This record gives sequence, C-alpha cells and structure tokens, in this order.
Amino acid sequence: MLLVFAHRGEAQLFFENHKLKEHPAFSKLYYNSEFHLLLCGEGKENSLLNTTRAIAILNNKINLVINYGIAGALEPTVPLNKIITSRTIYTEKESEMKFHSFQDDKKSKYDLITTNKRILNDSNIETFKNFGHIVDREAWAIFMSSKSFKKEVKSFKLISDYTTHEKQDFCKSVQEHSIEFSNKFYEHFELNFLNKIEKENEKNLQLNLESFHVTFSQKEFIKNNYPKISENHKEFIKKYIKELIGNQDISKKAKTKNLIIAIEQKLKPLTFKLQENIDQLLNEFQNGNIKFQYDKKLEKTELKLTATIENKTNIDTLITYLEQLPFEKFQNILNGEY
Amino acid sequence: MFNKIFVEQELRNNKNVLQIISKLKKEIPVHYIEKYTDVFEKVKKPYLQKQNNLNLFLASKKGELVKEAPPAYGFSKNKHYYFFHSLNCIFECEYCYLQGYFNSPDIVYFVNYEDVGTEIKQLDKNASKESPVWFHMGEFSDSLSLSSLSNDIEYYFKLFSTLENSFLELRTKSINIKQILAQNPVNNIITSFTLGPSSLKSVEKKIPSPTLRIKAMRKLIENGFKVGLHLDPVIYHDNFEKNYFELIQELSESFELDNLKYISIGVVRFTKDSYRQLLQNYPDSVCQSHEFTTSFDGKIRYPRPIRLKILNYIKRSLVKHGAPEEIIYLCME
Repeated sequence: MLLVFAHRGEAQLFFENHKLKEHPAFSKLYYNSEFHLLLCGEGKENSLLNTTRAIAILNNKINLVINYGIAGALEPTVPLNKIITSRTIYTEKESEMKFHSFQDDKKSKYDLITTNKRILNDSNIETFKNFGHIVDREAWAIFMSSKSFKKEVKSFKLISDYTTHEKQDFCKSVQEHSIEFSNKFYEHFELNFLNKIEKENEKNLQLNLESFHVTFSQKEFIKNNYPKISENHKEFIKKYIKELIGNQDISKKAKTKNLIIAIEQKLKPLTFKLQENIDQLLNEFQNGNIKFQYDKKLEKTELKLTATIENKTNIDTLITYLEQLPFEKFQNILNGEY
Repeated sequence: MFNKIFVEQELRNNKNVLQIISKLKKEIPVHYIEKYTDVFEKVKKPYLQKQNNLNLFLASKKGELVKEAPPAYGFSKNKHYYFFHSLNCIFECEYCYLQGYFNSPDIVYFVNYEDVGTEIKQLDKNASKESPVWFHMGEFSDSLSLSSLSNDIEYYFKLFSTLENSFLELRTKSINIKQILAQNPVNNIITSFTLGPSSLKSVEKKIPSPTLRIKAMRKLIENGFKVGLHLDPVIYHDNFEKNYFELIQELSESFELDNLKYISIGVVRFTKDSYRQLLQNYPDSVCQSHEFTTSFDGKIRYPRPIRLKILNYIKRSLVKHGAPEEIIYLCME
C-alpha cells in the first residue's frame, strides 16, 4: 500500500505514529513494514513525476495507492471539514477541460477537478462549476500514474473551505490547520486501511499445477478464465485437478489439455455441447487420411476437408464418406435447429 | 430528474426552450453557454452518473440533421433515414449501446425540429409512392420519454399528414402516449414499442412494466394509430422460452397481433466498446455471457446456432399467437 500526500504537514500524524524510514532510492518516499508513504509535492507535475517514480521503485510490493489531501468546494452543498470521496476526477488542459477522466467512488455525489494552478488565481472557476463540485491540485495525476501501472487507486479529500475569487489566505489557513487535517486523515486511515492486509487475488484460488506441463498461453488461459466460472464449478475443477494429479496413465501435457477443456466446458456449456454434437456427427467420417474442420466459433456453415490420397482405396473411402456425410444435420445445428 | 439545465446562448429566448424550462422544476439551475459542445462530451463523464447526476442541454442541431441508415435497418427494403431529435436517454438499460457511444450520459434535446422537417420534406420530394422512404426518430434516444416537455410530436404529425412518400417511426419504451393521442391518426406514422419479459425487469431500469407498455399499445391501436413491436434485444436467461412465450401470450390477449404494422426480433448484441462498458458498469448483468463470440460483423453475440434457435423459437411463438409471418423480420441477422 502506498499513501500519497502533497505536503508533510498533512502526513504529520503518520510520521508521529509510525517509525517511517526514508527509502534509500528516493528521498521523498518513506516506509515501514505496513505501508509506504510518498510526499509528492504540490501540483500535477510534481505528483505525476513523483508518484510514477515511487511506483516504479515499489512496483510489485504494492497493489493499492491512496491519496489523502485537502480540497476546496466549488458549491455550498459540499460539506466542510469532512473527508469525502469523489465520483469522477477531471482535470484541465491549458484553457479548457481535458477529456480523459477517472472513475473513483461510484457512490459519491461529488466530482473533483484537479486544477493547473491555485484556484484563487484562476479565472476558470465558472467553467469548473459546469463539471465538478470540488477542486484539488494532485488527484488526477496520481490516478494517471497509478492506473498506468494498473494499480488500484483511491482518493480521499478533506474539504477545507469554499473556493471564491476573494479567498486570499488559503495557504496560510491550510498551514495553520495542518495538525487538525492530519489527525482526520490518520483516523480515516486507521479505521479503513490499517491492519487490513493486502491480499493479492484473494478471491481466486491458487491452482496447484505442479503436476502439469503448462505453456505460457495455457497459463494465461487458466489465469484469465478460471476466476470467471461459478463457485460450484470451481469446486468441480478442484476435484478434477486432484483426479488428474492422481492419474499416472496420462502425460503432463494431456492433463493440461483436459483441464482446459473442463474449464471451457464450465464456462461455455451451450457452445461446448454444440461442438460435442458436431464432433460426434463428423467422427464416423474421419480417419487418419480424412479430416473435417469446422469453425469452432460456430459462425460459418461450411466444412473444410483435408484428405491424403495414396491409393485407390483412399479414393473409394473418401467417396463413401462424402456420400454418407450428414451435411444437412451439420447445417441444421448451425441454423439453430437442434 | 435533471441536476442542471444548460442552454445555448442564442436560444435564450427561443419559444421551444422557454416552454421546456417552464415545464421543469423551477429549482433546477439554468446555465447559459455558447454551444452545447462546450460542456457536453468535453470530458469523459461515466455512464452511471445518469443515476444521480444527469444534466439537460437544450441546443440547436447543426450540420447533417437527417442521416441515411445502414443496410439491414428497418422493416422494408426501402431507404431508411434517422434523425437527431435528442442524444441519450433518461432510461437505463444494461444492454444499451449508448453507454459506449457517447462520452457522457447527459441528455441533449434539439429544439430546432422545424429544420429537421425541412430536410425530411426534401427527401420526401425525391421519393415516390412506389418507393417510399422511412424516417426513424429514436436512434440515439427514446422518441417519447420527454415528449411531454416539447411540441415536436404535434409538429411531426402535422408534417407527415402532408407527406405522401414517407413513413415515420417513433420508437419508445415509455408509455408517454398523451401527445400522440391528442393528434389525428395518420397512416404513415408508426409508434413502435420495445418489449422484453418482466423477468428482465432488473435489466431495464426506470422503465414502465411490459404490461403497462402493452396497455399503451392497445390504447393507440383502439384509437386508430399505427403500432409496431420490437422484441429486441432478446436476452437468453433462465426460463427464457417460458418467459417470452408468456409475454407473447399477454400481447395476443390484449389485441390481435395482425393489428401490428411490423414485428422485429433481434438477439442481444454489442460493439466491442459497448460490451466493455457493460462489463464495467454492470459486471453481474444477465446481458453478458461467457458464451458470447465475435460474430460475422465484428459485433459480440451468442454463437449463430444459439441465436438462431432463439429467433426461430420467438418467431414460431408469434405466428402461433396469430402474427402474420410477413410482418415479422429478423433484425441485424
């Protein structure tokens, strides 16, 4: 888990309550046995650069990035001094809004805009009101960086004040209240994240495939498709794997092939059944020299024939097979008449 | 229903705009902007924000107002066109292709329907009685869901009563037929209803029940209006045969199915973008299936044998309940 703050003041309580060490590879990054903490600095550039650098260093050690920070409200409907989540995170690009947005908490009522400069100097305040409810300086960039590393990312914003053109003492006010803000962030963190161990793919059972010979693409297939099947079917697959492991009569390669067929069967029972019907239909008319192929996606109503002819008998067999081939039955299956 | 209303500056005093605003709640804030594209789709606004953060844009459609439809569109082999009366829909259907189509779920309502009428008149002139043209209202929005706010239905009824070579299809999932009932029936306007069984209620949010839609269909038929039916998209689910059979039975008990101008049947299908959106927005939806495959036109569908079995079953059930075979067509197959 990586926590990202713009300023040290906001993270004060985290430093006080935990012995955080400076990371040897990056002086803005701190860590202990439970989490990592980054002080990314203010603004989009700083947060994009420093979050990216921190994730690049930590990469496999973290799955979740959490941004805590102060935000201003554009509308009086947003509650002050409360930590809120954002529904969507937008940003601006030069003089207009940037198209690319990020979804954060679908249940939230508030949309956040990460602005290019401090809002009190910003003439775009009226435009921002068309798109969002709160403004900050970092969240969009932290999301951009985290998402590009395919990390889960969340943002929690403490609303310090309502943003108006007249407001001139924002920074001073944030500095004065930093202990109070930091306390709220720490309470939130303690309640929601601390002591919760990150579990990678905890929903997915780790399959024991040591007794199998698995190629890269087969591994990808199992990794992508096993989690999609229902819990009951997962139980079936687990039992089936045990059976396969105990079976000394088939090779490791064949075990993998059977396992993949079993997963496909559970994933696409209708398609699998139809393929089985077609295979049964064609099997009688195939041998070592004659082979029929059909579109496994079941979209095309055609059969492809491969035949090896070495003698007159081969020709006679081929003619017999073709004469007897139940092509109409094959077409009926493809046309939904089965 | 709406959080904010955005109005194009030049339409500030437009009679249609003033009428629509007057019919909405007074507390909805109205913002005036240069053009609707200054805000609409300017940022990627997630589709599910339509549940609690939906804005209405009142705008004037510029450029091409009427577009030729792709092949295999509509009932007859005549030329088909669709036109833009609105973008996006107040309803929320899990299978809806609009979730992958626009970058915002906000509603844009075009108030310059007289300009659309001018283009329609021109195309009508180029057509003939032997080779009429079809116009479809509702390609990017429900034709009737917001019709009580505007006068466009009245306008189109008056327009089409003067056109000899054109048909208009109003396509809806609503029961908002008040505006239609206030008009004189014309033979060349068909109000078509999209229906699915009540077992799929959770998939179609905020939409009146099939029973209420069937009642609305009956009322229009009884009052001399032309009505069509779309059983599209058909979604394969537990007890699918029984559920669709009961729906067709309910239809046939409400009115003779030969009263319908046409019936279309189509099995659920997605572009890659809209399927990605479905998985993101409704990961547990019954509309998705591991059986899906990429089919002949690049769309994601059930494999051919499964969808043809579904189509054949529904077609047979319709015929069994008195629907003439010649009014049934299979959509996008």
